[in-house]
Amino acid sequence: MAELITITVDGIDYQVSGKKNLLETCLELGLDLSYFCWHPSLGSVGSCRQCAVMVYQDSDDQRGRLTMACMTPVSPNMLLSLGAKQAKDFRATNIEALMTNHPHDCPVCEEGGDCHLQDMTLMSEHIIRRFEGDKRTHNNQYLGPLVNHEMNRCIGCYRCVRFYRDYCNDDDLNVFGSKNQVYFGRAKPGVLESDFSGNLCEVCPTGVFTDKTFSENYCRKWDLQSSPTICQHCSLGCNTYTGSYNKTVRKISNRHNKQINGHFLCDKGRYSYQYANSERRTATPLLRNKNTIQSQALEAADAQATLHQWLTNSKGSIAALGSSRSSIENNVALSLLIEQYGGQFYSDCSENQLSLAQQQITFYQQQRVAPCTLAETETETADCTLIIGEDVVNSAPRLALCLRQMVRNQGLDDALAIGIAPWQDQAVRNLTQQLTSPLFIVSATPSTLCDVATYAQPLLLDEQQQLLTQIKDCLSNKGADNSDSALAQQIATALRQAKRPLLVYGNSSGDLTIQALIQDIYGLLSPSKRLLYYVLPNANSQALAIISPPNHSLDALITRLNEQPPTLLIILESDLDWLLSPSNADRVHQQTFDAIEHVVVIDHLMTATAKMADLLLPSASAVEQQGCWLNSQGLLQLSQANMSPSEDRKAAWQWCQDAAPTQQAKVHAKEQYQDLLSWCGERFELLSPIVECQAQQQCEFKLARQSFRASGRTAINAKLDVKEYPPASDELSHLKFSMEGVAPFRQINTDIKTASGAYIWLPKWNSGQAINKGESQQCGTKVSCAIFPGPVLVTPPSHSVQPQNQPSADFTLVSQYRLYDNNELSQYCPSLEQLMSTGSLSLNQHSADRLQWQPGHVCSLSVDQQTITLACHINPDCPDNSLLVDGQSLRALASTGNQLSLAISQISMHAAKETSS
Amino acid sequence: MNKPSHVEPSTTPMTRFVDQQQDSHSLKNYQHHGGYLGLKNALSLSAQEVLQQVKDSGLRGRGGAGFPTGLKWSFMPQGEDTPTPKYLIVNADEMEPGAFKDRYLLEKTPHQIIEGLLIAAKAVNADIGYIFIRGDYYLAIERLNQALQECQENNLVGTNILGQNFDFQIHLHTSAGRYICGEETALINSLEGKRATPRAKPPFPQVSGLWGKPTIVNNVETYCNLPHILLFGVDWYRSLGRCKDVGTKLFGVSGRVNNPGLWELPMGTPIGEIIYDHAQGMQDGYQLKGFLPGGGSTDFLLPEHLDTPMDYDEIGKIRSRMGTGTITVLDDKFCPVKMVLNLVAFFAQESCGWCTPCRDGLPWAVSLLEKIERGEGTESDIEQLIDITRFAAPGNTFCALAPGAVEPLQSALKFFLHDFTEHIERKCCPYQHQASAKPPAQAKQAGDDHG
Repeated sequence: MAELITITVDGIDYQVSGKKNLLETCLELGLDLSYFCWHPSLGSVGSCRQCAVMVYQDSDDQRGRLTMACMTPVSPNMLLSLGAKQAKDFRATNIEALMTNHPHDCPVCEEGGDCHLQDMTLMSEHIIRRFEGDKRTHNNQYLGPLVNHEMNRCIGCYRCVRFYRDYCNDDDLNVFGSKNQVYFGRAKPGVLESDFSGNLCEVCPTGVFTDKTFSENYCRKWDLQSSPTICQHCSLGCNTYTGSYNKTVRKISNRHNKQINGHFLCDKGRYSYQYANSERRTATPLLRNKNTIQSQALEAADAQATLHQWLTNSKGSIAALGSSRSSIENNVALSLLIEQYGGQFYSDCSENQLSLAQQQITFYQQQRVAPCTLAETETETADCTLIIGEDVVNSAPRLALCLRQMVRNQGLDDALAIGIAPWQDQAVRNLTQQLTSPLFIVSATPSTLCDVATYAQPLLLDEQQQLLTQIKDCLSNKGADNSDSALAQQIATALRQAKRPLLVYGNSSGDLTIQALIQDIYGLLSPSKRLLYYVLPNANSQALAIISPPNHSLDALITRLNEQPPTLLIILESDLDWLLSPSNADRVHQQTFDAIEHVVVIDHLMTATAKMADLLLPSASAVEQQGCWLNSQGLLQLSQANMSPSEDRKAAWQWCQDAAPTQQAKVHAKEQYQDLLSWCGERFELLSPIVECQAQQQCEFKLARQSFRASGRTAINAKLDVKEYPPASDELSHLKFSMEGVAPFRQINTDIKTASGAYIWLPKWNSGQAINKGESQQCGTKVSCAIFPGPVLVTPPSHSVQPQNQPSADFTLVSQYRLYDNNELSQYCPSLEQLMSTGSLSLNQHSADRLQWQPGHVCSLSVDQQTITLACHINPDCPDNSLLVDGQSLRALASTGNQLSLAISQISMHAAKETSS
Repeated sequence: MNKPSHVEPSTTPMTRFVDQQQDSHSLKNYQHHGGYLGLKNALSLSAQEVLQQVKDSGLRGRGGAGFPTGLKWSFMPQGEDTPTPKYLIVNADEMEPGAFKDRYLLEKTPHQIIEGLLIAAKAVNADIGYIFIRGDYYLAIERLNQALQECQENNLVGTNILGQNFDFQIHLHTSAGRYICGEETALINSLEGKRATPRAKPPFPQVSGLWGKPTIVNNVETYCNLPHILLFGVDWYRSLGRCKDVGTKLFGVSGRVNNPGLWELPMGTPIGEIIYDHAQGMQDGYQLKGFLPGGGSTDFLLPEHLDTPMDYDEIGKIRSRMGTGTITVLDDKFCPVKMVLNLVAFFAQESCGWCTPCRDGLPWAVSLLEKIERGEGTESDIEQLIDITRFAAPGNTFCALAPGAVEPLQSALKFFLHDFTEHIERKCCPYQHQASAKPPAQAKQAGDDHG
């Protein structure tokens, strides 16, 4: 425990750490001090001058000195005043000055009620506007489908450009002009290029940047029904708040978790919520007559009875497909159900991916290692990173953002050595300039992280194997003299010298040899320092790898369906059309399904597979049910239901539980749920913390999902029905679907601080900035359970792997992962349509010369009678003799659809060319 | 060190070799008057000895703040483990309203600046120098380029300068033109290709400056003092001042005086002597109403202050600043509200837009002053103006621009309040109803008047 120092604020003594600046210290003490330009992750720059306080030299000093708290370190026995008249007057005048140009458009501003500027204006007690001159006006820009721009509201705090340029290193948003005409926007209107643009809406203290999807479907913050949720769009498990109104999801906002997402989300996570409002949602159970191909709606009870009957009839000949985009409860319930009826459970991963994931889990268990935590904790403290084979920019964007902060550590250390604290953002950046901690990227696809990388030359799989072997040899002092491996030497030396070396790899390397080599390299690093992060493809891929028996992959299921069709096939929240290549999916839907007596699909979306189901059971989406998610770092996290499922929808686990023979008697959802979790804990030892994970989110009193200011609750349905219905109940959660209940921040008066509140709100702090106040940080402190035991100082034994000298192919197809294209749920989001990429094929000049292809040629690639046609582009960053094809186009060629296509397929190509007209 | 017999200590060391010949800026002329002899002396000494001489000389920065030059230099970390390269910057971005002293030195004596820069480089072990010059100073840029070329040809810059195993590179950078670039950290940002926004201090540029490396920024005139200190010695230099401050300084006068211009005079010359002896007093029909002692960002002073010597501390005592030492005279026929409006509008225009008091406070003041000048002002406007001057006070803003901008405003509100109230009471500018005033005579450059 670090030593505390005493400071005196307005006559009251406080014990503080002294490591943070004075503003952050005051806020954490729960004091109300206004600010704009400071941000906990962006540090201090002192531009807005809003956090002025009086600092006194000693108790005899009566005059004091007006000081900007954000730019001032805390020193022992510091004497200061927030309430002194001079400081209060200054803060009020400062607001008055920056409000001279701010429009009085709060009633029509999306930020209204969720606005830091409103809060700070009230807090500063600036009431009467004295300025009578003209306000400056600006033209707004079109910034794409996600972010709105309303520059007249700008108060010039510079947070947007500091986040966008300094933190994310994107450069298409900038500040232009000077004096009171400073303009924050793009050189030309156009779609923001950053994958983190949505954070501008939270970073902006007022309504310059607002969430466009929210504006199009708007309601006031105080009318939102909120709940703490887990993002389902990649394996990182970022923490979010989902906000809904009248049964539609309106908005996703960041929920601070210093171990994962910190203060920021990626755009995929923030904007892919629209699937939950999709017109393509399933609503009622449907029974399809195989002969007439007509579907008829069923009562829920009849559907339940049909399922039960089919299960009983098919005993012993049942197959089930789990889903990595569904909660653990849903998968476990399905697994339990078919176990009781003698069936087999399969994962939705390809054979290759499943074995990689399971091998990695075995590695964690046997070697007692745990993946590292993200944002403000381990990843960002690393000082040397090696990324192998994983395109984290697209497959785990928030991790890529962490790595952008990681490279700053060398500079932060240098700054600290001459007395510049890390929060002095501008000073640190000025001192360090382009200096970075080493980051090496070994991957077949060009990475946009290359701007901060020490080395980022794309390498094909066999070259990667060779390099990793050389690094391994260097680290184990073998082959140290090998003159061919200057790069390997460089990487090995950097890893060895680092205080916190980090290895990042993932499921998409697609190669067991590579994975074994990385694990060996990890074993050769100092046990007390080393860190690793393993990225998986989907939100619950890790859990599904635990639940699925070995070799029970999607490939195995398809083989089984073709060779030995079961009587009953149950598919949980999976679209074969997405998982398989279109032609394979068609074959399964049209032919294979015919040979299976009963195909049951449980899904919340009307997917191609759902349309072919003999019995379709509509399930609750992830925002309509409580569920556990296991992220790639092995943290179990509970996502709370945001709304009750409407119509005949039920959580998938509930459909399964209701059909299970042993559960027939249980009528209470809570009992069913807890039985399920207990069974899960007993059956899958690794998942046993799930019981604790759920229990720690229990609370003796109920918390409200709606703010107590929610208006018009009883009027929402008045046009249909004047009766007032009670709010839906939620037996499983400590949260209520209403505004009755304890406000989240009131928890601080109790001993129960672990349960997550439904939203962030504090008196006087209506905007999300309330998170920076001390009280907020005390709530929901325990939000996850780690399933891997964590580092124990055991060095894993080395694998004796040798690179396989595969015959080098003429051309290698390399799949390019894309942010939105490779996320199934994003396909159901209208706002993201425009951001999906079109098919692309690129190759370097040398390869193009070999093929005699020119840019703009329309090229056909054929594999096993499947052909794709794409226009060809030259990209100098492509590895030699490789064709870089976007993952979506490649699906048509690969046997198991998108997931396999992430791997590099070494296929000799027949290439034909046509000249585009 | 040998020096030609005609090179004698002068009471006007910086301008003594300027004459009306076309090539007074040439290396030949400069060397004829003892140019680069100071550098030779410096190169024969150790860095520590040069630094000590500059410290002992009592030289204070001539850019406006008057910080002791030797002390500033001593903050640059020295020794083997310290970061390199170390940078020296000449701040030649003169843009202060009413100031034209650096322009004179730049155009007439480019070699004097280069010599000063080389001496400073020796003292602080600097490796690279930048001359950051206002882009509008076309003639100065041309002459500096020419001078650098001459230095290149005569082994006065580059490697192994004068065979003394001393290396120093000099680059000339022409500014795109913002007043804020005169602020040393904004200058550094601009030089790095970034927005000309000041940096937070600490860390000071001596520790983390250009490209994050140790950097010292000094004004043109500061550098021009150095060759003479090194050539004629510390004792001689200290004897030049007429009060506590030492050496000479370029003082200028503009406004409705008989002989506007620029003169090199001892530090501590009384203001009255500059206005009445050198500028030869007010034009016929005009009374001295007040004056800005050192450029547009200094507080007004009154005729009662004419006995005050031009000395950093003495002017500070009467609540103004010596600033650049270029006096702007306000006469009794010119509207003080209009003059202040003109100044504040300039500073509002030149605000970089970084901090609130400057970005939004100054335009607010401009709109109030415009309103008063139009005859639409109210009593409350004066209260607001007073609030703004307190709001933008030193320490409240990110850099010194806004506090400087409100200095003429706050002193005008103190000394000429009745002018403001008269505008409000008469609902017009009283000065516009007087006979149209004669325009001020064109300011002549120094050297025209003395030898």
